Amino acid sequence: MKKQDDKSNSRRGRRNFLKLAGGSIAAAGVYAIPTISRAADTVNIGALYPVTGSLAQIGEGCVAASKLAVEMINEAGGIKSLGGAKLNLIISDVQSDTTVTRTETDRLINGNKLSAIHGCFASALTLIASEVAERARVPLLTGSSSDQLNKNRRYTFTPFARASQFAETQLQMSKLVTDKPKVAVIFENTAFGTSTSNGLRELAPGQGAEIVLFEPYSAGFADASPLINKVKASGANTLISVSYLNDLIVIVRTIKQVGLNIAINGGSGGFVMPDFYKNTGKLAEGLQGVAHWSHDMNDDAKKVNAEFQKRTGNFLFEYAGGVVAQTYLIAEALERAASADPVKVREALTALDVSSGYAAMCPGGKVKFGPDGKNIHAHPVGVQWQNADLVSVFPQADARAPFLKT
Amino acid sequence: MQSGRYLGLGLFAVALCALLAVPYFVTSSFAIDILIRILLFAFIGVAWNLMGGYAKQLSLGHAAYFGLGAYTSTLLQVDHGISPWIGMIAGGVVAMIASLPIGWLCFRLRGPYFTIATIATAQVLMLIFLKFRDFAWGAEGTTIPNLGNAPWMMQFEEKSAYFYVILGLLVIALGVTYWLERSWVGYYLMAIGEDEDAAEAIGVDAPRMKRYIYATSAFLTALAGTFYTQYIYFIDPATAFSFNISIEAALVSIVGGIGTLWGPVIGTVLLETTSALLQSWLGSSTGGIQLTVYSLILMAVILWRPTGIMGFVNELREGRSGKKTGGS
Amino acid sequence: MVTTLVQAVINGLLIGGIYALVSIGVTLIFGVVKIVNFAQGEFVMIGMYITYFLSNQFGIDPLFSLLVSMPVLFVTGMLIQHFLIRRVLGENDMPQIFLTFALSLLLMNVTLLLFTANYRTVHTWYSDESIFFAGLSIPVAKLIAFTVAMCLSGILWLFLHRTDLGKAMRAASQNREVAMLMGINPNWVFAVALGIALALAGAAGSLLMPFYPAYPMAGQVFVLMAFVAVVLGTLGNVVGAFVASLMMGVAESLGIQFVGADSGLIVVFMLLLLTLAFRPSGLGARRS
Repeated sequence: MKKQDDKSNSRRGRRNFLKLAGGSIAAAGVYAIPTISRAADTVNIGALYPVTGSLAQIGEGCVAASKLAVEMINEAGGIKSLGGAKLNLIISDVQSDTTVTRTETDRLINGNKLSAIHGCFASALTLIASEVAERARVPLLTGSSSDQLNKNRRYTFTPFARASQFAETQLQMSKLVTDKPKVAVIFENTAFGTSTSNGLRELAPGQGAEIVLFEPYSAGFADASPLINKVKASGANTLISVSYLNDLIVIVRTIKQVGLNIAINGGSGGFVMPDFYKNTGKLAEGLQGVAHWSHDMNDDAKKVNAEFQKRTGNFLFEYAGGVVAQTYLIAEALERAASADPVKVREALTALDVSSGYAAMCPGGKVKFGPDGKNIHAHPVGVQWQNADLVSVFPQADARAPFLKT
Repeated sequence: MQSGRYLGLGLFAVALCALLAVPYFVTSSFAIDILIRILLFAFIGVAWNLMGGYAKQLSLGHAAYFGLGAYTSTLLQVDHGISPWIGMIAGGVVAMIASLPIGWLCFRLRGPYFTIATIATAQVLMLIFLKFRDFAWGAEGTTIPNLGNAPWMMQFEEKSAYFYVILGLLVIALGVTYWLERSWVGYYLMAIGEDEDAAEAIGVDAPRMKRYIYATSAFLTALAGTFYTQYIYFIDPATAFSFNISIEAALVSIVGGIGTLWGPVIGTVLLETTSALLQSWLGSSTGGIQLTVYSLILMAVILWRPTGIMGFVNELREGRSGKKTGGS
Repeated sequence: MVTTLVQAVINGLLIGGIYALVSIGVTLIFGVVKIVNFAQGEFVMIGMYITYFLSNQFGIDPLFSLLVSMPVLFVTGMLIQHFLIRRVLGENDMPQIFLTFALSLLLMNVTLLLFTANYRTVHTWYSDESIFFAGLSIPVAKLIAFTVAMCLSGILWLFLHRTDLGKAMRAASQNREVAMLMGINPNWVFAVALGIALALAGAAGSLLMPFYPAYPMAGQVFVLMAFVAVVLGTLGNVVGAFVASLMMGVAESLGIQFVGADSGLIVVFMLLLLTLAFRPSGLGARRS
């Protein structure tokens, strides 16, 4: 018996040595091939989006917008201070997964000489990407609203409104419908929902709104009836739902089923996407939301929207529109820095102060970053579904269409 | 023959040296990352295999311990400034303790219902960590504070350092398995795996053995949780208690050879390499392709070679030498 | 308050009917074939997609899609039994567990590959309509689903207790060896069991479409509920699974209503773990 074991051991040992060595050599060989860096007259920008996985719909739109923006910049002559250098967009799919985000951000940064990155839409993914970018000293721009992104970072820049600001706007909008809003807040219980809802809870008293229901829920439920039942029982006249697209669809339809007459503010994210309307149809009419970017904000936005619509058949939704602005901000920083070095680009971003052009395409039309990477002029815009289109209705200065009371 | 055994160990030592030298030859950060992933999931697989391969207790809830390890070390680090090295051990202890009530509950069932119960426990833990924001950041999770290069706090600027850490962990886990295979504990466990009632009939204290191996398996899995968190700089309930981790732990062991020493390692090399190749070839344009391929491989293995790659290799060897050894 | 409670119970019952269709299938397979079908949820999902395409391409109402989804899945079940399940029967646990588990992963991800993660919805005239009385609202689509689910369950019961094949299945479920001695061909019985179980899953899918979106992971929620119901109702006990499913629906609804909307799942899991801890053989077990 022992003899057999020893022989097996030695054979096993040999076999496994070969396997281990072979495996590592294979892995090393395949993956050690570095990406060919481009010639000196292009500047690399990285883009990280969930093109596959649960957030794929949004990711695809963001990628389309990224490409559009880069084309527009290149057609206009590229980066003039670098002799007309063209932008080269390198896209990476983070698969709506945190581990993959870590790997991909790493791969993107280490496999290419990047001057800047933008991504990733979802808060959890962006947090990871920003950690990696921070340590690698590459500036990251993002429209993701998590307030955590502005803490303890020097390389993360957020040109748009923060989650806490969204909350304030939603509460203000609830007062448009009735003077004494009784608000039911339901939110999905992960990062997106909790950060926004916290903001709502803190700000409500100051805004004169009473929160009558504050209910986290697990996304992806089988049946929204119990939840809506609770909303009904709470006596609320406004519902603020912080949800991803899929749940919003079920919630809105359930509300109709239950026969509940209530003003709904669906927040941003999935609510402000064409897919939402496609799946709820007329039920979406009159529903309010908030966005950090809207395609009717100014002429620049409308132009980009028209182009995007030609290419994809859908209007340019919030996050994707923001991506275009972010790309232009990066281009602007490159112009100022007159260098593709990410550290210099970062410095240029901190000194940036724009109020015109595509780089300033945001509610309020001004971008200037504070020491924590936040745009000091950023604020959200209230939107509403009217006639199958999403229009800006709040605040007055940003409204492009009258607010419809429902 | 003694020389045979020394030959086996000698070859292992050579392989180890080869691996230790890898970071000097492989400079691509991406490649190191893949290797780290391979070592990490091999480690998790080996930990799972102790229970699932030898004792045949098929848990699909090991993510529970992964997450407990991750959260323990992170809480200790972020709230109390304690080094994750200590936190890692603490996490392992927490996992061991947790495995007792969970084991008590789940071992009341056999077969697939044991498996379902383990899935449920991992999910419950995830839900608890999602809901109770006050002690562990809830759904938002948290990032590890950026300390630059801080070896005593398990943060390294050089990626290869992580490679060595996980390699060390893997060697330890393999060592535990190697020892187990040759000890009376291992024989008892394999007996339980083959036929628990029969084993009890001949005097094996099955509940106690199962508790021991579950605790060991949980301890090791928790170490992986800490390492992983330190590596990706982030933790949240969905990542820490992810069902995918539970799946992959079992998957690599089954494909590579359930109940064998090298099975999980081989399984991981195969699956992770396939996955990385798929990503390079197909770009990132097709969601679901990785798991589709994994599930096809798994089905193929189950239908034709349930003993996995190593099992197949062993059968070949036995067939060739003309001798039939009993069992395994 | 009472209205809220009654509404919560009604909501729970209505969705419980769907859970019942899925769990009956799981328990039937377990009782007869003695394996756990981890992929049951995915067959619900397939039923949903079939219904979606029939509605989208041909404008066929989901209720009529039942006539397609059920037979298609019935045949699928028999094929799966013949080509896959049969090969791992009689072996130890690992192949049985992981085969259907792998199947589940496969189906989910192939669907993801083919159809993307986008939600697909079907709108019928009754999708968003409700019946209102006494302050309660009963969504028509869910009421229809519940009614059909009850009918199908009833038909299954009749089949199992009044037909020869059904009785053969119950016999094989209780004692396989003796059943074989009595001349019952196990493979045939298994194939029918699997066919029926999958047909019920497909029915659940069709019934869900008017008010629930189809996406690759859609089956996961339902299979979870189904498993808990099966354990609660005792493995293999069809009536037990039925009753337990309704109970689960109500428990989940009440849990959401009175504990918290994110606690629905916790309540369900707690139910499962408590049952496992104190009555592992389920509530419907025969005392022997």
